[in-house]
Amino acid sequence: MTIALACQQLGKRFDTVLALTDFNLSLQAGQLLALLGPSGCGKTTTLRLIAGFERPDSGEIHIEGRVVAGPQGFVPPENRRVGMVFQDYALFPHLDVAGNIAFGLKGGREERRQRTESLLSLVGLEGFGARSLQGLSGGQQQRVALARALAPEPALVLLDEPFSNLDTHLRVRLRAEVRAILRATGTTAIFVTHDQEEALSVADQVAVMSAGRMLQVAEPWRLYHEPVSRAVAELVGESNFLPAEAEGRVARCVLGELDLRQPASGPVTLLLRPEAIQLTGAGQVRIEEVQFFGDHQRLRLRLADDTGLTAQTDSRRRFQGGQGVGITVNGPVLALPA
Amino acid sequence: MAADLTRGFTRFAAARLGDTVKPSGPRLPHLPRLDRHQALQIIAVVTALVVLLPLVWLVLRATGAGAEGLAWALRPRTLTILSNSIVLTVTVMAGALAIGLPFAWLTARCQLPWRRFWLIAGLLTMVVPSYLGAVTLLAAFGPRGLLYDLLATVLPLERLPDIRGWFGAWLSITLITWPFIALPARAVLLGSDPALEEAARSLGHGRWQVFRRVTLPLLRPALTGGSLLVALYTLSDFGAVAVMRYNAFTRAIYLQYTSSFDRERAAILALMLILLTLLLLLLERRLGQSRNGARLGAGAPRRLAPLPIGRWRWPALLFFVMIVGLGVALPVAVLGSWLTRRALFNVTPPDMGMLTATTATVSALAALAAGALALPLALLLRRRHSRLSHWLVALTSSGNVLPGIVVALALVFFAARYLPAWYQTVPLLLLGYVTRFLPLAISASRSALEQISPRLEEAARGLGQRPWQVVLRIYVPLARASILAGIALVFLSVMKELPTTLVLSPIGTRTFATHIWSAYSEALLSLIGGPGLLLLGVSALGLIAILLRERQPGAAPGTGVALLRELPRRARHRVGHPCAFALISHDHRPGLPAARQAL
Repeated sequence: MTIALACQQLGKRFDTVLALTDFNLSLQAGQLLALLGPSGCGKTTTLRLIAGFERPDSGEIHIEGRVVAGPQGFVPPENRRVGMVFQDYALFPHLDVAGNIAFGLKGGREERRQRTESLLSLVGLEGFGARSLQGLSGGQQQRVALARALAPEPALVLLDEPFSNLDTHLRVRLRAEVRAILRATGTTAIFVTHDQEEALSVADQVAVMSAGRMLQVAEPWRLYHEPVSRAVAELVGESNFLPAEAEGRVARCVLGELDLRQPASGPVTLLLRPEAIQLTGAGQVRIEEVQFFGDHQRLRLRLADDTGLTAQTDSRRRFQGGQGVGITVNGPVLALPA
Repeated sequence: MAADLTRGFTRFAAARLGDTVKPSGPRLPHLPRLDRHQALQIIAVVTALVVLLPLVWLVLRATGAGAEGLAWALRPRTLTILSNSIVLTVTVMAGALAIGLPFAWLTARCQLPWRRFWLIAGLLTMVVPSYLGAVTLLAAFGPRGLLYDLLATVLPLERLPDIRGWFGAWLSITLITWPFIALPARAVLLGSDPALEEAARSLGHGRWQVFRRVTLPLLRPALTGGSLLVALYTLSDFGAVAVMRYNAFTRAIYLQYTSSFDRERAAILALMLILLTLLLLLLERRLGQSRNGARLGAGAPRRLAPLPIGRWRWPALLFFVMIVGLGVALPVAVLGSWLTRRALFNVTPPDMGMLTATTATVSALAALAAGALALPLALLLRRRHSRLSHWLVALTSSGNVLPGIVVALALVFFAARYLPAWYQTVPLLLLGYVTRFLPLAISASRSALEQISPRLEEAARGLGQRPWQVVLRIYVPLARASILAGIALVFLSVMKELPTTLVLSPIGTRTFATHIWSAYSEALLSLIGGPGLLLLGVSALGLIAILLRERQPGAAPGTGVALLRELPRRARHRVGHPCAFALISHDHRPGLPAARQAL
């Protein structure tokens, strides 16, 4: 496997604001990486550094083994072979659909035309070439932007919050489409998002960022079930944290003795995902609130010692606020540093 | 309402029949009143008639000449006037583009030393009236001007080449019109989505290619719209052309009117100029194309980092020094030198108190009248569905689109024929000013009113306010800053206006503009110093005051950064639609409000 992108110890500062510090990332060719984090955490800055719109203050960026930014020099964006899909698409308003897609193409007229045609059909916009942008829906504009970025066969495609301008329904559909297109073309891509569901469902690898730092890079399953820190667990999915005393493969906490995924010792914090908490018959745990979603429901629980927990179950059983239930924990749990 | 009417009618009928009917309801029924919309439309109709009737009369006078008139219009001497006007317009457009585009680019995108200073100093060229610019240029570079005096001390020169004629007119007008191009272009450069250029970079284009393939196409509507304003200004300018003795239409019309008092021929020339102006508007409609470079999505707006220009900053600085030097410093310096030299001459100095009082009075009266009239018309324009009212208001803007000399002549002819009591009176002069500058006040109020959500009006009505109360309690307070800015703009324009004042003012009524004109005509240049400097000073202060006022947080954008930025685009959409008239004509100094963001 070849490494498509490597960032080493990147740092970037805007005036007094530290946008990025000690940022490391490496991405294998053909993979799709999601850059996940709250707004203002440095995701977009990372993309702009990779694309060459900003210069890093320190560190190096390698694209396909070539240094494109670092102490030795700086390759301008037009020579990086990095395609970009902007949040607002940034389609050229003075060109039609085909003109936008062909913008970055070199070669003869016929060659460009054929490439444009094949891209149009790749993104499902056959026959739209001569259309002006005004008539396009948000989803269609998005696809034109993707086709334009893919046209020059870039080494890497960057997508900045690609789905944020679309309504929920369309967003879900387009995610799948974009993923399929990137897979079909074997494109290496990074997309920025603050939507964890989007990151987990679309990407091969998810990088979690916070306050200009990279917290963890992992495949979605691992990230969800084995976050390296409480901060990552909080950014990805819902969590219950319980203080506990670990010894080997067991930890003792307010819920009694629980099995651990990995051995640990001393004071730890246990991570219990809501769906790991199972509700049994009547018991001492009081249900404070029920949020019903149709396909599942989420319950706010209060233990006898006043600890609050969130549990999630399927929606078949009917619960009411104030009801008393018993709980058990399903499967081993993760121990995080206290 | 129908029920009201019936009830009222029955009661009326009963009264006629001698019955004594006691009112049954708590109050007497009243006749159905005009609703606000109708009242506004009546104002619009009357305004449109007042503006248009003189022009119609002028056209009738011209066409009344028939075949003889046509033959006269097609004489080689008349056609020379036409070609003079066209040559001047085209060359001024080229010159304004050559200054305006680099100015916009350098101040919007480059790391230029003292960027803000150059921007503001450059914009100050807009406060120089064309006749004053031309007179001072002539004084400096004329055959025996200041430059000659300077050179003659070291060189054995007889005289310098005469700059009067095409060159002088071209230089004077170019020096004050380039901001029409620079300001919208700069607004596009600042306002367009930086991601567009970044996208082009990431698609393998170098800086120059990006400029050519993305930036320039985005700029095109701004450049087209700006050039059109430059062309309209050039065609309608009277001062510079007259001072430089270049025989374009405006000067020829004035000469025809004053020297021979041949109204028919003056009317024919005026009609030709009107047709040329209309042609220009049609041309813009064909050239314009919709471009929208504004960002679509959410996210914080971002600006491109200023481009370092390295060694190029020296030629760039020279460029700015030239523009500011010729456009601003030179008029001020020449006027100042006249002020100090005045003692040498044995002429009566002008009565500055009287001049100032007259100028201020007529300007203030005209500005207040325009402001009062603009509000109802701007309110009418809020009702988008009313095509008729849009037409009417658009038609009133013809007073501003057409050259001042034409509008003034039309009024004089009309008054001489139908309103002899008004002829040569101050009210007629004020009417002329309002005709000329009402659209400035309308567009100022309008862009502010457009910011106000219709929900506010509905909420106020729901809380029991009548339409006129809504105007007073919602619209006026919210749009106050812009309404005042519009009034100030009219005040400044009237203060500087030459052709209207020259033609319409009663004998003995002198403003700064006419005083400067007659002092120049009588070659008493030293008398120009004081009034000239005062005119420039007040204009500059006015500009700054309007800008500062609009900068206050929360102030609705008045005369309209937004309007200016959208001017070319909207003009295209609506040239077919009469509003384009209002938009294009928007002002002969349209950049002024856009300068707000610059400060």
